[in-house]
Amino acid sequence: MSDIVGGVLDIIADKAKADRSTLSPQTELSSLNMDSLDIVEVFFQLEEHFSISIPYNANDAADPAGAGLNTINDVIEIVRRQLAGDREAT
Amino acid sequence: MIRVVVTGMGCISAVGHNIGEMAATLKAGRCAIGPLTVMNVERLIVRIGAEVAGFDPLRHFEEKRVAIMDRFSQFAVVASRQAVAQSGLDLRGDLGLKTAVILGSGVGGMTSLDESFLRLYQENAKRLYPATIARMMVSAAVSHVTMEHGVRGPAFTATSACASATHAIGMAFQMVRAGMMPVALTGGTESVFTPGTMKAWEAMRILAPDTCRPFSRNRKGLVLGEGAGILVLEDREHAMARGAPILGEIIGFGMSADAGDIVLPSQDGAMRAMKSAIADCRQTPESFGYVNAHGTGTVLNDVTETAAIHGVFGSHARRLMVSSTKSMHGHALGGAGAIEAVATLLALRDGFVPPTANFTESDPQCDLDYVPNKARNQDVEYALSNSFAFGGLNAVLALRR
Repeated sequence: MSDIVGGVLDIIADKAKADRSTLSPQTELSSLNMDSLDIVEVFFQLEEHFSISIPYNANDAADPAGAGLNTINDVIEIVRRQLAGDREAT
Repeated sequence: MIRVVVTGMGCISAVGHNIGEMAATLKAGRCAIGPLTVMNVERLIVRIGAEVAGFDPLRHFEEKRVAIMDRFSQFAVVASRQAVAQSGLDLRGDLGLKTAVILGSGVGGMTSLDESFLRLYQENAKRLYPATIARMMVSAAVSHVTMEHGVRGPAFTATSACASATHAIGMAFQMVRAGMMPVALTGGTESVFTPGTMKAWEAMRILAPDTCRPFSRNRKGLVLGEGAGILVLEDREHAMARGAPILGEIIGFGMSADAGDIVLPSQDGAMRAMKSAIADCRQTPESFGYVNAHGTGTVLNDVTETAAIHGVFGSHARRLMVSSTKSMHGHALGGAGAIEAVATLLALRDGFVPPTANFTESDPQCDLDYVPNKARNQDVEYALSNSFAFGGLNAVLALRR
């Protein structure tokens, strides 16, 4: 499971141009320097990296908290759920 | 000062294959968004759109011509025939030398481009159809309209993503007003229902999965549309001298660039474009009764456009009617401004205001009169039609009954 955390942190650090060592699952997404297109890019990278599909509409992201996205851990949970779902599906 | 009137209108879109059908749909407030049937949706997540249903090119063109025309050009020519017929103009003679064709398109012949790439990359075809370039070039629709009517004056395509048609109409308006020519055919056309385009839009994650609900709190994004709208613009004296039908008047045009973000809208840029259109026609904001909004149904556009309208109209904003007809005909991108200009002219001419369909929940951040769900019988003298493109390229027309 730690490779999920690691993969998410890598991708977010890259998009936010943040020092990877300063990020943790508890980091607030709003504290990072990411605009709405960056968030869409993060989800694209996650889908490519983990071979999953993430249902995410940027119209919910005008207020990311409204889409249940507050911290990096919320992103990790989405990836976990999708990975579990994909396994169930196969 | 030369006044610029509209003496012909044509439109083909999801809300109708001609002006009569379109007026009836807008008055009924009927949403024409539904499951996509004109393309293979197998690999799509979002499978809805506002398509021109039941369009058979062979009912409009000889087979030989269909082979060299992309769907976006076909729409433009069909709409232009309606507009020119209504105007009663014969452009094959000397008048054709003094007539312009300026249309807006965002991307051009995507159907042809997509089909050719499919052949090349997926089917490993050794060669592509010889007419591929002639079909896909973004100016092809303009060329076909010139050929159709024998128009031999200035002709080109304006492109500014979702504001393309409004920029085109604005250019044509300014050229006729400046006395460069007495007649212009103008508007826009677009057709993007291809797997490649739809996947690219899906990747932005701003397409609504259900329907288009502009300004409604539960809006989920935009729904793509397709089609063409064409206006015949004419020097008013020229039109009066020949006893032409006068369907409305273009009185002002404003443009601006946000110089901001490649996708996010800007209140300042939208305000400057609206202000500039109002100043151009020497009216006060208080003279206006209706705004055909850009109203895409994305969270950000609708909040930003609402704030911009407040900024431009002040306390008069509360008395304005503002609606997004995209809720019925979808977002036809580079053709949208033309379909919406036609919708606005119909509203002014017929004394009704088209509604914002699918409006089910008010949003505290969108607090104007959006004419929810039901058209209103009301005479309006002056109206604006807004187009705000990705990349911050804004264009606004001021129109009059």
